[in-house]
Amino acid sequence: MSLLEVDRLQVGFAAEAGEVLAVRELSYALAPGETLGIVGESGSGKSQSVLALMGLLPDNARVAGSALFQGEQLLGAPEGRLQNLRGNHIGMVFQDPMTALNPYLRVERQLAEVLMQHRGAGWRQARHQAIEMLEAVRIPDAARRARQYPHEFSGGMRQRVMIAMALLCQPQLLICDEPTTALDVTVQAQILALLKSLQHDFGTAIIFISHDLGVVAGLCDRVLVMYAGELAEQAETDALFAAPQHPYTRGLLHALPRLDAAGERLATIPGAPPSPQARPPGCPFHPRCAYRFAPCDTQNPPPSTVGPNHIKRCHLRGFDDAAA
Amino acid sequence: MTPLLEVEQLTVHFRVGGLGRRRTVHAVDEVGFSLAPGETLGIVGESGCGKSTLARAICGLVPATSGQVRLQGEPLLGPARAARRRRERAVQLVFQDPLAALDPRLTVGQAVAEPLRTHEPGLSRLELRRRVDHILTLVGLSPALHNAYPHALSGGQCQRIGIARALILQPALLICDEPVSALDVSIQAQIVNLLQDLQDEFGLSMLFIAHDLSVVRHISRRVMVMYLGRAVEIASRQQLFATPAHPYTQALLAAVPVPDPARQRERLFAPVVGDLPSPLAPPPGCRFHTRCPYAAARCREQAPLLRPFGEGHAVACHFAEQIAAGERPAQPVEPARTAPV
Repeated sequence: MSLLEVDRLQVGFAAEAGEVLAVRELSYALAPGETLGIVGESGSGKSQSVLALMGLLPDNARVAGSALFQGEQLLGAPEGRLQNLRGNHIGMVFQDPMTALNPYLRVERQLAEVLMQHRGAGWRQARHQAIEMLEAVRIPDAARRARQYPHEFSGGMRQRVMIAMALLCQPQLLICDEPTTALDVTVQAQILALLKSLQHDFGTAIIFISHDLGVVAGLCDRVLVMYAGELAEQAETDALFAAPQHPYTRGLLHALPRLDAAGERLATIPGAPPSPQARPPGCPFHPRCAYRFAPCDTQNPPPSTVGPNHIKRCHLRGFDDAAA
Repeated sequence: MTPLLEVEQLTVHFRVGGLGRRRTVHAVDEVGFSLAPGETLGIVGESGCGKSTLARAICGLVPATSGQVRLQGEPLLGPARAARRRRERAVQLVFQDPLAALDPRLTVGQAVAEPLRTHEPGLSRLELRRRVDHILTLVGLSPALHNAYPHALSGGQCQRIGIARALILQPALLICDEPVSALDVSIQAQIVNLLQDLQDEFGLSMLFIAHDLSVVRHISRRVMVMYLGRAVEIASRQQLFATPAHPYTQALLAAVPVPDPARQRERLFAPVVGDLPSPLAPPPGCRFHTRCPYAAARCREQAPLLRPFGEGHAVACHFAEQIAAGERPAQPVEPARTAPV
């Protein structure tokens, strides 16, 4: 059974000019222990789509569709139940660890609180477990560091604290929203390696949101590419990078400056991603697409299966060449 | 050929803290390099390495503590009127956040014309308009955007305006400080290509500052790597990417994610431990020794100088030759205890 089943998820925001849809008809499933990467540019709806699952959207948001976590409906669930799920069963790591931590509380207190709240643990036991978890995320001298405040930690160490906090109750699902974007590249490498080994140890399923295809390539079993609030393509990681079937995915891969390729000039995607307020008719990518043809500017293609576990939204039958 | 830009022993220190707690931030320490006309030098490093401060010091936006900068043989720093005039006109900057760099109350046309109004006040309106439209076309923007305001434009378009503003005075040197890191991948490629085209077309000389080695690789002929205020390696692009000599450069290269699943899975390890130390209290000796897998006693005591390491290649590491020859095995380092700042 799937751990998480998202079906036709829709997220809208009330605006002056009417409702603006940030996520449209997004469907995917996640198996226990699996890692799914969600990739997209700014405004693609990747963060909103997971905030919706956690019930963390602002008040003017409206959510439709269905999201079953272990068979339980998340959308519209009462706040008390969601609070219980968050932390206990679903952990979350955000991009900026400094704003996610309370600057007035010692790290040990913030971590222990999670266990006291969710597991009814006493302070001594909770603190003991918190320090163990700090050791598990490879914070050196954990017992001493636990007594410190967030500002005394570096950016990478803070993100380790966040990961420790998210994993304290051994959740079945860990949602990481651009957890390494604010970090330096050598520190990013440390955090990615840590996530990989923690997943191995704890067997946690991960949804990893990123704008960086390179980061996703090494970590994820499956990748979902989003464009203008919709799924553009979803496939197993190797298949997606070896033979992307959506022109947008292909464009992104070619546009990436690479350390390992000889090409000097980058291929570009003309134009810019549309804002949700000024969404083009038909396929949202068609104004930028080099392969567009008759139906693209009027009909939005439905998701279609193009291979095992490989879905795309594109009118194009396929590409002549197999490789990207 | 005389270099276009010569930077010698440039040092920038900031004094921070109040009474009794005065401390010094060693932002840039004794950095030197030269830039040939038409050349692009990439400057890479992680946060706090001093790459942006270096750029700002070169064009006089922050005062240098000591050192020399010469443009076409003439001094660029100091309060002398001639030097000020030179750096204001001949050196132009493109910034990271394109929207923040533009005045929200100026239209595109006004923003791009502003440097011309300042430096060539005698221009007629017609001539001004002609020059602005010309430069807009050059950076791939329609002159029809003349009356648009920045908030109505995309990040990529704003960055093109930033570039147009910088180029309209035909500067001798263009300094780009992380010009693409705030942009989405699909837009980033457009700007990188635009800069390459301008480079080819006008023989633009550039300092291209970035934290992203793959972007730098696309645009630079030579690359300088900085760590905590010091230059640790300078080499041609080919040398730096094929045979990096400094352990820090090697670590940086190993840390960059590669969009190739099979290769990236193998790269899922931490090439160096620990975090960057604070520039308030840089480690003694080699500043990288707290994180270096090859560090020895000498590294803790003696700061290595930037020294030649083959043709056109310089490195600041005591053991670069031994590391290159594989004679120095990497030692398992203890996780560095990062002292609270």
